[in-house]
Amino acid sequence: MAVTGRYVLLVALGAVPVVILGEAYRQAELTLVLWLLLTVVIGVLDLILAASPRRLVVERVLPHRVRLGETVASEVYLTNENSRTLRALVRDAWQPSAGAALTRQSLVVPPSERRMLRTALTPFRRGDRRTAGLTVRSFGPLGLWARQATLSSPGRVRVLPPFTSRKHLPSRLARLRELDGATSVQIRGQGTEFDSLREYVRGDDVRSIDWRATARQGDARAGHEQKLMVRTWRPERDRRIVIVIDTGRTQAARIEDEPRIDTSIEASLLLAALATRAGDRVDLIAWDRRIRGRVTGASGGELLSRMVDTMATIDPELLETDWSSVAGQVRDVTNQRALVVLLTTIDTPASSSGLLSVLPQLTQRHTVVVAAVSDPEVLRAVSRRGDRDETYRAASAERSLLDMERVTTAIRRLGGDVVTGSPAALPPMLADRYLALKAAGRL
Amino acid sequence: MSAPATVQGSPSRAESTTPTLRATARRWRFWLILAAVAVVGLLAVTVASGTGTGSRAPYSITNAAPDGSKALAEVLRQQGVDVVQADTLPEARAAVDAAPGATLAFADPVGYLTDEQLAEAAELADRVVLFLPGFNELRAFAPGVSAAGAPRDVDGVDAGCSLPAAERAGTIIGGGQSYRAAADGDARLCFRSSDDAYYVVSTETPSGTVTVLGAADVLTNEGITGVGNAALALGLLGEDDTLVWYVPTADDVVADGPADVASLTPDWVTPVLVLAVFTFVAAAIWRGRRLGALVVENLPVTVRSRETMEGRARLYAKAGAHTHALDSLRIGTITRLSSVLGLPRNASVDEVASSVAAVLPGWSPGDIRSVLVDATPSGEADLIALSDRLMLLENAVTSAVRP
Repeated sequence: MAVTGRYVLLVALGAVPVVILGEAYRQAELTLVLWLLLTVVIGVLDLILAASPRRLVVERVLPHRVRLGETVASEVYLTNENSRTLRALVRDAWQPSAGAALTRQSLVVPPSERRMLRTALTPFRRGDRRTAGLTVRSFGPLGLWARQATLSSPGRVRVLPPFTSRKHLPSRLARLRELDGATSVQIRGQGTEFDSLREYVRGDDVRSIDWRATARQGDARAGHEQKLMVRTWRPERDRRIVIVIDTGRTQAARIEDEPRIDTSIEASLLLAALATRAGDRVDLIAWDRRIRGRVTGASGGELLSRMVDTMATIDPELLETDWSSVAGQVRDVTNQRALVVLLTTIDTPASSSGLLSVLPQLTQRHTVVVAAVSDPEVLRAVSRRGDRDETYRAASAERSLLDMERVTTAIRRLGGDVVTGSPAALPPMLADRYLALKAAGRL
Repeated sequence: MSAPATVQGSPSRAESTTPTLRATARRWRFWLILAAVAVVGLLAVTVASGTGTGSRAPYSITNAAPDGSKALAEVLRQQGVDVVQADTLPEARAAVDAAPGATLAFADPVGYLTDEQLAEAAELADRVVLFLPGFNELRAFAPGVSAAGAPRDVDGVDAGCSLPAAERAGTIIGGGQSYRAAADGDARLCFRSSDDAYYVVSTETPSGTVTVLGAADVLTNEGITGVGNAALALGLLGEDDTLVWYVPTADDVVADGPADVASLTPDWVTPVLVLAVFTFVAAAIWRGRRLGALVVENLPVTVRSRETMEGRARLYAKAGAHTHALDSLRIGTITRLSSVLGLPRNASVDEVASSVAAVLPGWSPGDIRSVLVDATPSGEADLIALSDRLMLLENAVTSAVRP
């Protein structure tokens, strides 16, 4: 039950008869009591005549998924099963971060008819955004008192990572094609495989001339001018890539107002998109002390779709990541040699000791790249030395850089590779490192 | 990548999570029944005890408490005496006027009446019985009688006089007040308590017969059953057909101060104020009623990555660790210089210093060494100066190597 402003006004209007009758007949008290009774009687009558908010059919039409930053329409259809017209104020209880444009709307539904409530959702956080139900406040014909009920009508929109780094994808795919056999300039070596034979053109590496093929070609077409044949190579396909996303506490820290884990997700998506086009197989593990998400055995569009779906609901846990089991997890995914990409944080030797202790096991079998977000603010702080505070901050920033440098050196010494960059730069840098490894045939 | 919109949930009548009025009543049934039982029980007890109505004042004939006089009044009524209660002087006058020849029973223990009102009351009836009168009452009703203090001995006082009612009573239980009459008067004195003090003094005044009764127990519900108390009371009060029982109340008090606010404001002011309170309550319900429950959402922690760096900077500043801070700055500069100059990662400081000296002919080698290694800062001013020189050196080397 609820009352409206109109009812409050009606009660307040009682001052007029109280004063008039009080002056004229000295019956102010009686008038007051009668007026209050009158308002209550009218209110109860209004309440009885209001349509029941419980006799409604609710239908929700809602997309299952939306990419962060995009807007979708949430539609709710209300069918009135009362024999009276429903005049109602309806609230759809979306979570605040679902970014509903309108949370309360008023509408009139004649008996046995259906009306739609439509609102735009622009979620501003990744994950599942939910609404528990509809609260309907049904007013009587006079709009004095109202009946109210909350109807259970759960709705959910999964908000996917934005994948803003996909703008880097076309240029990296072009580079990938350059690596393929289509180009003649090709490095032959481990990790590449034979692609085709073709005629020598100026600029080709003379070491790639296949003399046997040249001789055979000369035999077949006797009388013609001798043509040199070269072998072309292309990067090996069907390499394995295992992306391990650290979801421990250090990933919750924000750099340029973006949590580290979001940058990790962006970087892993760009890498996966690129690698699956290059014919490699990508597996993903999100790990802190247990597996929080896992995508294996998918490729192409399905891979990306499953990755965003898995990672949409992953938030950093406030625990220290257990690195000792990571090697086992990678072994569960593949026994082959693989490129293992660890998306984590490298801050200080102390906090990275777990990572450093497990690296030898990984580098023994696999190529390991550790990718971490670095804070551009720290680099800026180093060269800003205006006053006392800034000088101390610069010293502290130098210390942070030194710590990172020490971890980086340690990782390199253990046979790993390190990529660090600002949130905007890390995904393309990781993709470039992958391309470089592929070109060098080190996968 | 928004997938096509689909229907979520079944299109049947939605289940309500708000309990209906009936469900709420069922849930609160125990407490509602308990409250109802409590209210009914309270009403029953009140009605049964009869204390709900009736006065609490002494000598009131509606007071059933030990110090009231309801028992006496009821007995008088059973004897056919019409007992009329009067709370104010005008009521008392009206009652006496309605039944001429009535007896007036009067007591003013609180002293509500002024001298003028007492004088007026004294004129009302021919027969007056005063209960434990004070000085003012005696002066108005029976000028010849005066108070003689409270006697000590209370048990079994004999009448010892010719007053018919007293003779019939024989013995009463005393207590209360005793009185004495002026020596030259014709007062009849009964129930002697000491020397010349008596419990009952009956005297003739110009306006009629005034009987002063000092024995408190004679009237009260508690004491009336003692020895001859009831007989004395009935005898004194039951002589006429009508008994006007006048115990003044606060309504008798005449206001004589300045006019109060209530008499100056119009009648409707208080009701309008009450209406304002009701309006406020209605407005509070209007604004306070929530449209459904609050929505719960788990929000992520917000930790800026810079915070460790800032914290360490504040720690340096607080501790005045200028040497330590300068060390950090120097290590950073030397690392960058060695990479700019193309030296190996593990190049020593001396190698870096000599390489820098080779690149910058304008700087003296001692100066460079002092900036990079040797100078010890003695304070924060030194730290800032050295930090500036480090920057200068770094920029000079960078621009010299990469013009």
